[in-house]
This record gives sequence, structure tokens and C-alpha cells, in this order.
Amino acid sequence: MASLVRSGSTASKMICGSNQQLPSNIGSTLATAKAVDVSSTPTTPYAMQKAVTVPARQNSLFTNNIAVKGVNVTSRRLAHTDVTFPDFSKYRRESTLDTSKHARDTEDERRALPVAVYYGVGGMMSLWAGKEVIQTMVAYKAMAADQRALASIEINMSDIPEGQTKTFEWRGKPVFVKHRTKAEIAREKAVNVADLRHPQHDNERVQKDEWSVVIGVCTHLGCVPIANSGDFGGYYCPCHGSHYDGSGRIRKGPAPLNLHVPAYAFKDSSIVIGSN
Amino acid sequence: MLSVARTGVASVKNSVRSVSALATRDVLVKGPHAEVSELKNGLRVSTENNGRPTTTVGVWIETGSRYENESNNGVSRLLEHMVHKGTGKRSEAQLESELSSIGAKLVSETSRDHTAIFVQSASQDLDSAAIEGEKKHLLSALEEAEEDHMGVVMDNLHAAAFQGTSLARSPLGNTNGIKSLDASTLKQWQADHYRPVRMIFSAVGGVEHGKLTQLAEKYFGDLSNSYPGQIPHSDGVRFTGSEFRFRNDNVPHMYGAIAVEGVGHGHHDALALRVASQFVGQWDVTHGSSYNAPSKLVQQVSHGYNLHAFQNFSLNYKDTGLFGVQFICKGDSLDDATSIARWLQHEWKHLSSAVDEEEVNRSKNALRTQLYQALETNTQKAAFNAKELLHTGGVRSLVDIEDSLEKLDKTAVREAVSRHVYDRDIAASGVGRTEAWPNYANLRYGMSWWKL
Repeated sequence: MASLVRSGSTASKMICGSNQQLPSNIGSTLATAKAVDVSSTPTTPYAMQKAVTVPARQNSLFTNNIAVKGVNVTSRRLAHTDVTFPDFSKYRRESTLDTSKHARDTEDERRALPVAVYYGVGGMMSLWAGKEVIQTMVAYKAMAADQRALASIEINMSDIPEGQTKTFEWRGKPVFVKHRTKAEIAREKAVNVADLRHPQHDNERVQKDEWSVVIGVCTHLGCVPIANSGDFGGYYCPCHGSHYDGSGRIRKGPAPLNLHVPAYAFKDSSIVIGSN
Repeated sequence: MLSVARTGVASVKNSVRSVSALATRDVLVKGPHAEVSELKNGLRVSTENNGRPTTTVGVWIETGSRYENESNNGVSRLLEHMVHKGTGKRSEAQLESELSSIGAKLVSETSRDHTAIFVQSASQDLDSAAIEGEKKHLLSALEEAEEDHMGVVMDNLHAAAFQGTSLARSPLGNTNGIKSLDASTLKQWQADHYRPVRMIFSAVGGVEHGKLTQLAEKYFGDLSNSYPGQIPHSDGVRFTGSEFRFRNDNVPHMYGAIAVEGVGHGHHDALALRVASQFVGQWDVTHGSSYNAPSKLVQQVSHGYNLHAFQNFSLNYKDTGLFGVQFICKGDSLDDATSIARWLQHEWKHLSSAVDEEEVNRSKNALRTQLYQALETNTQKAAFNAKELLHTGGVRSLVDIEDSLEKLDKTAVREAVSRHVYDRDIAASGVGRTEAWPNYANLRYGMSWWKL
């Protein structure tokens, strides 16, 4: 077919895409393909295609109004150098529009955002992941939940009338909570700090004057003193005779230090021991 | 006993190696060196007298498809071909008979950034009939070039990688460009490009420098450096990571190339990249080695992936280049094509971070063999000298090259490959059965490793 076209341009040749021989008895209305003069070869691809398309074999049985598309015999493959590479300038960043600049020279600004996103978001995520890992590990190694539940106790203040001392257990140790009277407060405030073995003013040992909270373990050898007894209106250790006053300070006997004050805080109408 | 024998062999190997390295340098030092001088009009003359009975004399001109545009693509090649059609002083027949009477041969070539004409100078008068004839020849050559699938791959690779710049254009020219050329375009081109400062007169063989300079003075001394038209401008060096597939299932194989932006001729990493390129190596199905090859890449890809051949390349133009690999495979499996690319990229990444001294030495020796063998002939050496002069302004002797090759160690190779290959954008080009061509994003992803 192609050689047909190339062979000359003198005669008018029939060009149609299909070599199909149509039997003449199908119908008298069968339209024949139009003869195309090769010398007036169409130039645009569309015109070429049109020229080889046989139009309208009307009214025949199965091919009603169908155009038969032919192979475009005038098409010619171009050389690879005739293919124009598409121009992507519209999609380029401004920095790469200048063709005389090496791509490498404009790379930093082009790569800045992705790198920032990569290391920014990635960095944040890895920090978060690290935090999670460490927290999980620490939580695993930390005090058990049942123990932590006992870490602090809450004492209802209304349970302790004024002038009374009650003993509670906190972390396996006795804690004395003393609701002091005005007289006791005045007495303890008036003590001369310089005379004490372990010099501490009452203000250092209480948060509210009415309430003195101390750990009930004698600082001498660890016995539990007896509350509301002794020479100084505080605690007395029966083991070796240490006397503590109403602020829990050592006043007489072998103990070297005052009774320890645990961390505690006031919350509404209660004292929470074991929390700040 | 066995271990003694082994160490014995190793030491013999090592001593043979060092002896051969020494010998290379000795031979090169004793070899001829290029002499360079410059005429008053700026034309540079380079000669290398190696005392051989044959000589290559030629002119290398800084022109080529890089300086062309869409409408005159092919002009430098046409002009180069016209030289064979006779000159102002000699007709084609005269030229042929005079050359053949002294047993000489006129050869010419045009690449992207230079034209070389060995033996004769440029033509003066251009016969329009001859031009038409030559244009027909170029057009048919263009048609024939379609059969050179690897050539098409490389042209398409340039078209994609250097899209929007003149490096994208092939020296073959395009159909419309060649058809539209006429005598005035050729003359204009010649006037713009064939200027002494853009020309190197280079000779290698049994030739005296003084004598050749005199000849150059006599025949080229009257060329002036004034530009009646415009000073030629090579437009652009911009590399763009991109892909060009030309699928044609009538071609029996998949032809392809994958490359990153290389370096210019005079760039300090040029030699390291050539060594790296040698490390990647080459192979085709006719090679006797596969599992037992020294190259790990060959060991991996020579079987199981329907690969027919691969070949490294490291092209250096004046100010940029391409570094990569071309390959031919069956093209019926995406997995195969992807695996081949992955192994290649694995070698590139290995080069950038883990290549060891022994591997570098093997590649250096391969490069030595290739380089020095290629420069054995007068023509190749003359071209080498001329390109050195055109691109860098000086001629490195082979001893210089040997010295810098000697200095090159694994660190230099790793650094060069890290700079130019590792995690760089790639340009890919495929011709033929490219339905199974690997996805670009997937290929690009393979250019780097996950590391901190």
C-alpha cells in the first residue's frame, strides 16, 4: 500500500484502508469509496485519516451508518530527532528556569523544604517515639501500681479533735498527726531555738500551726514513741527514754535528731501525706 | 603448606602489580609529549612527534549541535560533510586524487560540542547541488540511525536530561532542520564558528612542531577573529531528572540507559568518575564470565534477568556530562528490568560508601588498559590533545594522567561518587520493548540508602 503511494503521482488511485472485496449483490445503494487523487496528498494527520476513511455504506443489512476506518497509508515515521521533548517550563520552579545554571547550583533552595519537612516532622516523630519508649521503660521499672496506690494517705481533719494526736500507717511507718491547742502552739513557738539539740524553730516544722505531722520513729534506735506523753507534752520513747515536744523536737534523752517531718499537703478538709 | 603457597602467590601477584605500575609510568615518561604553540591570530597548534611513519593532522573546531537551534539542527554535520565535496582550490575529484596519491585519508566527525576534520581544512565555496546531494545523504543517514537503537537511546537520553538546552539536540540533525539548510546558512555558520580562537590544529605522528607551525601559519594565518555575525553561544547546561520512553514492540529487545549528571572535561572529579565507571564495567552474553566474574555486578545480573549486555559510560562535555550505564535486555518482565536497575544502583551506592582499595585498583587498571590502548593510534591521540586544549586550555601528558590516577584512592572515588551519583536525580531513556520499564519514582528511590 505504501509503495503504491510512493510509486507515482500521475494516476488517480483508489485508496481505502480496507482490502475487503464487497460482493456486488448486497445492494444497489452501496456507496463506493471515493477516489482520492494522490497528487493532492493531504498534509495534516487529520486530513490524512479522513482521506482513507470510507464513509457511509448506508442501508445495508449490518453496517448501517458505519464509517470504515482505514489505515493511514500516508503516515510516515519521523526520525527520533524530530520528536520534540515537551516543554515543562510551566511546571518548573523559578530557580530552574535559567538553563545556563547547573541544576546543582539551585539545588539547596529546591531541596530546603522537603528536607525541612523530612527532618522536622521526622525529627518530631522520632523524639516523640523516643519519649514513649523511655516512658514505657521507666514505667515498667518503676514502683508497682499497688504500691504506688499506698504511696500517700489521706487523713480527714475532722476525725482528729483539738488537743488529740492520732497515729496512721504510711508506707509501713507510723505517722503522728497532732491537732494542737492554742496553748500548745504558743508553747512551742516560744521555745528558744539555741537551747535545742537539733535546733529547728516550730515554723520550720509545720505548715499550719494547728497541725503537726511527724513520722513516729524515734531517731535514736527506731522505736515507736508514745504520743501525748513525756516531759514536754509531745512524745516519749519507752525504749531509752527520749522526750520529744509538741513539735516533735528532741528535748531530752539519747535521740540525736528531731522526729522527721514527712512531705504532706492540705487538701480541702484533709491532709494528704506523701505528696507536696 | 597450603597457606604458604597462598601467601607466595599473593606476594607474586602484588609484586607483578607494582612492577607493572612502575613500568607503565616509565614507558609513559619516555614517550612523546605534546608541544603547544599559538599563532598570532589565536589558532593553537599542538603536535606530538612519536617518530612513526604515519601522521594524523587535523583541525578540531569548537562547534557542533550544542550551538545549533531547532531550525538549523544538523548544520554543523552538513558543513563537516561538505568538506569532502571539495574546496575553493580543489574540486572533489582533485581532492580525492591528491589525497590518494599520497595515500592519505580525509575523515571527519561531528559531536555535540566539536567538529573534527582530519587532514584538510574547511571549504570555501559551496556548490548548492553538492549541498542538496549531501542533505539527501544526511536525511537517509538519519533514517538509518533509527536502526541504531542504542544511538537513539543516547540521543533521547540527552533530549530528556538536557531538555530545554542545546545539549538536547543530536548532531544528526532533524528532518526539517536539514531540509531548510542552504548555502547561506552554511556560510553564516562557517563564518561564526570556524574562527582561529575556536580551532585547534593538532597533529600526532612523525611530524616536527616547527614545520607544522609554519604550515599552520601559511594556511590558517590569514583567518581573522572578527565575527561578522554573532559569537556562538552554547545554550545551557541544566540537567533535569526525567525519562524518555519510546515503546516500539517491533524492536526485539529493551534498549535503555540510566544516567546521572556527570562532570565537565576539566572537572577534578572527572578521572575519579571514570574509575567508578570502570568499576561498574561492561558485559554481554558473549563474555565467558558470569558467576566467576571479578565484578560483583556481572556476578549478579549476568544470569536470571534476561540481560543481554550492559556498558558503562562517563561522557564529559566542556562543562557538564553524563555518567551512567546503557543496557539491552529482553524486556518481557518488569521484575527483571527492575532487578537489573537495582543491582546497578547497588553498585553505585557501594562505590559511594564502601568501595575498597582492591576494587579501586582493579578499576584503575581497567581504565589504564582502556585509556592507553585507545590513545595508541595517532588519530585518537590527536583528538585527545585537541579536546584537552579546547576544553581545558592545556594538554595533560599521559604521565600527568598516570600520576593523578596513581594518587586516586578509595576515598577520592567514594567522595566523587557521593557528590555526583549518590541520591542524585536520574535521567532514563528506553527504546523498544519498554512496557516493562521500571517506574521512575522507584528508580529514583533506589539512588540512596536509608542512613543517618
